[in-house]
Amino acid sequence: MFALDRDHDADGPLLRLGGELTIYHAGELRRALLDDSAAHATVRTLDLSGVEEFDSAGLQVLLMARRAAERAGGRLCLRNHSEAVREVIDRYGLAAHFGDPVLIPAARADARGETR
Amino acid sequence: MSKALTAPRSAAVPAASAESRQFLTFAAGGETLALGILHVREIIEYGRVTAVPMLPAFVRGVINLRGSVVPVIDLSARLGRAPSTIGRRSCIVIVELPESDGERRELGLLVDAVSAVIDIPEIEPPPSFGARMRPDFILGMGKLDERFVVILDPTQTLSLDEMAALAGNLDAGVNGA
Amino acid sequence: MNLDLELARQTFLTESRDLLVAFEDGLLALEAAGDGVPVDAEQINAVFRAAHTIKGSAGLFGYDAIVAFTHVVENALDRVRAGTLAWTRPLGGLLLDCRDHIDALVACTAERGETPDAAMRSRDAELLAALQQILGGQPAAAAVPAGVAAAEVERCAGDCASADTWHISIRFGTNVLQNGMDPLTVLRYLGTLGRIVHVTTLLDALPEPAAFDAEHCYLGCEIDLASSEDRETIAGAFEFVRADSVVHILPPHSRLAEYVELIRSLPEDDARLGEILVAGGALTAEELDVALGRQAAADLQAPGAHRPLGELLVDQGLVAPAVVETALDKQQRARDPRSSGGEQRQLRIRADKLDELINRVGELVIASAATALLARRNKDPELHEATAALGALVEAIRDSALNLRTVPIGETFARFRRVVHDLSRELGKDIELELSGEDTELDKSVVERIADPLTHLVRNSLDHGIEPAEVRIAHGKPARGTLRLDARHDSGSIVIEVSDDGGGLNRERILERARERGLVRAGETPGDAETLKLIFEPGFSTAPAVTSLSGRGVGMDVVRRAIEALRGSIELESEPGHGTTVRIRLPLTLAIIDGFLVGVDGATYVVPLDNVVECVELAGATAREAERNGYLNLRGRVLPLLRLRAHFGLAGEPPRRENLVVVSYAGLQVGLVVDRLLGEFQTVIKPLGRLFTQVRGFSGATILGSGAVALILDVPGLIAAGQQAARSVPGLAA
Repeated sequence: MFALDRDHDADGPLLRLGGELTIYHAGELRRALLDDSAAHATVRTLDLSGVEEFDSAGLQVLLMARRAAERAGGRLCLRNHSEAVREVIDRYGLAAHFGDPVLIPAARADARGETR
Repeated sequence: MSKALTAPRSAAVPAASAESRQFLTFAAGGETLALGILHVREIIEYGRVTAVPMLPAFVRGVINLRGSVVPVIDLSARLGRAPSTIGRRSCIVIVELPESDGERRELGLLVDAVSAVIDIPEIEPPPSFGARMRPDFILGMGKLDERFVVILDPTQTLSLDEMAALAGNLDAGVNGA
Repeated sequence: MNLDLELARQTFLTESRDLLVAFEDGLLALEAAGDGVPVDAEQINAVFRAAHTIKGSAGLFGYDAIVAFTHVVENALDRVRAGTLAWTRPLGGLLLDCRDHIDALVACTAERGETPDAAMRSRDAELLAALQQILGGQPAAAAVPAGVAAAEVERCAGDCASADTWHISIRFGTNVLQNGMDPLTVLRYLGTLGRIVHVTTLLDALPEPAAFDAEHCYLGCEIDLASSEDRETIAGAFEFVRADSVVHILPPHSRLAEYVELIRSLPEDDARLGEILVAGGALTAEELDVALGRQAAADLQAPGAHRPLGELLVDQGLVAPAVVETALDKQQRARDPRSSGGEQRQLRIRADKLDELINRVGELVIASAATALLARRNKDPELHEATAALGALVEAIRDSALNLRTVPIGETFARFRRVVHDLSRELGKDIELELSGEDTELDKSVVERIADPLTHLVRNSLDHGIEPAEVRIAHGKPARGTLRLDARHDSGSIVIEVSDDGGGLNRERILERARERGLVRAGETPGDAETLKLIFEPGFSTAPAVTSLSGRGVGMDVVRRAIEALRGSIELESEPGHGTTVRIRLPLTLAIIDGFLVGVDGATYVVPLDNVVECVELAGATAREAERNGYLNLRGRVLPLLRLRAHFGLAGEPPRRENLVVVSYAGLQVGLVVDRLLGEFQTVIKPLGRLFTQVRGFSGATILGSGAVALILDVPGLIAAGQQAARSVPGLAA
C-alpha cells in the first residue's frame, strides 16, 4: 500500500508520502511525482515521515523528482525522513547529494508535523 | 480533497490513488452493485458456457478464455438470490483475484447487465444489518448522488476456498441421492 | 505481493537443490574411489564450489543458519582440496550427513520460512563438533588467511596501491529490480563481509524524466570495503545480479595499472572516477597521479586504441591469482556441464512461461483445426491443401513445444546412487547400481511424480530381491548383487525398467498368500503372468508377514496406483533364481490426452482413450434390458451401467437410441450410457482449477475445435461414485 496526501504548510504546498515506496508502487509514485506537472511546479517539499518501506526503486523516483524540480528552476526538499528512508540514503552514501537536513532531531520533526 | 480521501476508513484504506476509487457498476439479481475497477480484467459477451454437472447453482460452468478454462460464477445465485436468466444484455465480467498462495486467478461473473465505470469519492461503512446479503460480502456503501450502491468485497464474495467447499458438499449430496 | 522476491527465492531453492545434488554426486564419486587414493581434484572442487555457492546465495537472502553451518563444511572441503586434510571414508560419511543437514536447513529456512527448531539446532551442533574433531581442533578458518597472505606478497611486487581495502565497482543492470533483486541487498550483504569504508553512488545513468522507467535500475556504486574474506566470497555477493550487471573487484593492494584499467573500462568521466577512488581511500592522490600518468603514456603508444580489458590484463600479467582460478573454474564447467548444473549450456526458464507457451500452442492447434474445418466446408481444394500444410506445421510446433518441458531422467536416476549406497550398507549387502538410458527425456511433471514409485521399487529390490552374499555364493552367483535402472523411448511412451539379479519371485508363495487373502479361489490356478500380477492387488500385501516373502510385495498396489494415476501401466517379469524386472510404461507427457468424445444432452465430454474398452449401440432387446436392470449381460459377464444423463442430473429426454462406452479401470468394467459417440480426439489437457478440486467425476477440461470447453471424465472417480450410489440405494445393489 502506498499513500499520497496533499497538504499545505508555511512553505507552501507539500506532499506527504507514506506506506511502501518500493518497486511494487514505483509506477504509481512516478506518475504522482513526475507526470503530474502541476505537482512539481508547485510542490516544494516531500514529507517522508510516513514511509514504512523504501527501496532502490523508491529512491530513484525521489532522485528523478528532485532533478525534475531543478530543471523547472525550483528545489524539492525532503524532510522528516523515516527510519526506512534514512537507512537507504545512508547505504548509498547519498545524504550529501540530497543536501537536505536528513537527520532532523525528533523535537523539530514533531513541531513541523503539527500542521496536520 | 485530502480530507475526503483519508476520511472514514483511513486505517483500513489509506489515501488511495485515483484508480482505486473507480468502480464498475452492474446489475445482478435485480440490484445495482459495484466492484473495484482494479479487480476487473475485461467484460465479455455471454456465450458458450460449458455447464459442469453436479455443482451448486452459483457455478454456471466454464468458458474458454483465450485458451484457459475459467469458471463462471452466477453472481445473483452466489448472493443468495434466484439464478440469473440469460438476457440480451447478460455478460461475463472477468475478474482477477489474488489468492492466498500468491497466485492470481481469473474468474468470470455472470451479471444481468454492465452499467458504467464511475468514481465513488465517498464510501460509507456497510450497514450492520438490513442489507439483503451476507454482511461480509459488502466492502462498503458507495454514495452516488442521493442513493447508495453496494460495493462488493471480491475476496469474500468470490472466495475460492469457500466456493470449492460448497461445491464439494453438493457433489457428495448428489451422489448419495 | 512480493512476487519478484518470491521468484528470486524460488531460484535460490532450485539452485540449492541442484547444487546439493552436485555436492552429493561428488562425494559419492570420491567415496567410490576408496581410501588412501589421492582425491580427484575435479570432484573435490565440484563439491567445494557447491558448498561455497550455497553459502554465498544463502547470505544474500539472510539465511544465517545455512551460512554459518555451510561455512564450516566449506572449510573442511577447502582443506581436503589443499591436501592438508586426508580423505577418509568416515569423513565422506560425515560430509554426506552434512549435506542432508544443509538440505534440511534449506527446506526449513528458505522453503518454509521457519527458524530451525531445537532438534535441528542440536543436529547442527553435533555435526559441527564432529567436523571440528576431524579438523583437529584447529580453528576452521585458519587455512584461508594463510593463502591470502601469500597471494598478497606476490601481488605487491610491482607498483601497488597502499590502501588495504577492496575496491568494488558495480553498474547494476537495468533489469535488476524487475528480477526481484535490490542493489540494497547487495550493499547490506557486503556490509556483513566486512566494513564498508565508503560508498559513492553514481547517478549518471539516470535518464531524462520522460525516458525514466520507474522499474528500471540506473544505479552504480563505487565501494571501498575492508574485509578479510577471499575474492570468491566477495564476488559471491553479486551472484544474483552478476548476469545483468557490470562488476569489477580489485583486491587490497592491487596494482595501480589495475585501477587504470578500471577507470578506463567504466563509462563515467576518468577524472571524476579518479576523484572517487581517492575520496573513498582506494588510492592516494599521488598514486592516482602515477596511475593516470601511465595511462597517458599508454595512450600515446597506442593512440585511440582502447583494448579489451581482459586482453590487457593477460598481456601485462596483471591478472590476480584468484581471477585465474575463477577463469579456470569456468573453463572446467564448460567442459563438463554436469559438474555444476551446466549453466553454460542450459537456459533456466520459469515453468509458468513454458506453460503459457504450451497453452498458446494448444490454442493454435485448436484454431488450426477450426480453419481446416471451414476450408473443407468451402470445398476449395487449394485452401484445403494450404490448411493441411499449416496443420502439419502446427502439430510439429506443438510437439517441439511439449518437448521443451521434457528433462532427462538421469537426474532422477542419479538420486538412487545415494539410496543404494545407504540401503546396501544398512542391509549389509554389497550391491552395485547400473544406470542406462539416463538421457531419455520425459515431461517434467511426469519425472516429479515417478520418483516415489521408483524409490519403492528400488527399495523392494534391495530388501527382498537381492539375496545376502552367502546365499548368492551358494547359488553360484557373484557375491556382489546388481540393480539396474534403464529408460528408453518406445512408440510414443517411455519405458522404465528396474531389474535385479536376485532370487526372483516365488510363485508358490504368492499363490499361497493370494488364497489366504481370498484373491484366488481354492482349486483355481491362474497362469504364470496372472500369478505375478497378484502382487499388485490391493489386498495382497497388507499383512506384515509378507515382508518375509522371498520375493517382494510390500505396497506394490501403491506403486501400481501411482503409475496408473500417470496414465501408465506396470508389468513384471521374473525368473526364479535369476532375478526380477519391473517394467513401467508411461505417456511422454501429461499435457496431451488421447480422448474419445461422447455427447450427453447437448454437451460434449471426453473419455480418456486408455480407459475405453469398446463402444456398443444400445438397441432393441439390449436397450430394454439395460433400461430394466441397470446392468447388462455383455458376452456372459455382468456389466454395471452408469447413465451419465441421470448421474449428472441433466434434465431433458434421452434420444431414442443411446450408446454405451465400456470403460475399465483397475480391473473393473463399467458401461457409461451416453447419447452419442463422436469419435477420437487428441487434445491438450487444461486444469479445471481450484474451484473444482473437491468435485469428483472430472479430471480436467479441454478445448474443442469449435472453441467450446469439454470436460474430461475421471473414470476412476465415476466408477467409485457409481459404486457409492449403488450402495446407498438398497433396491439397486445388484
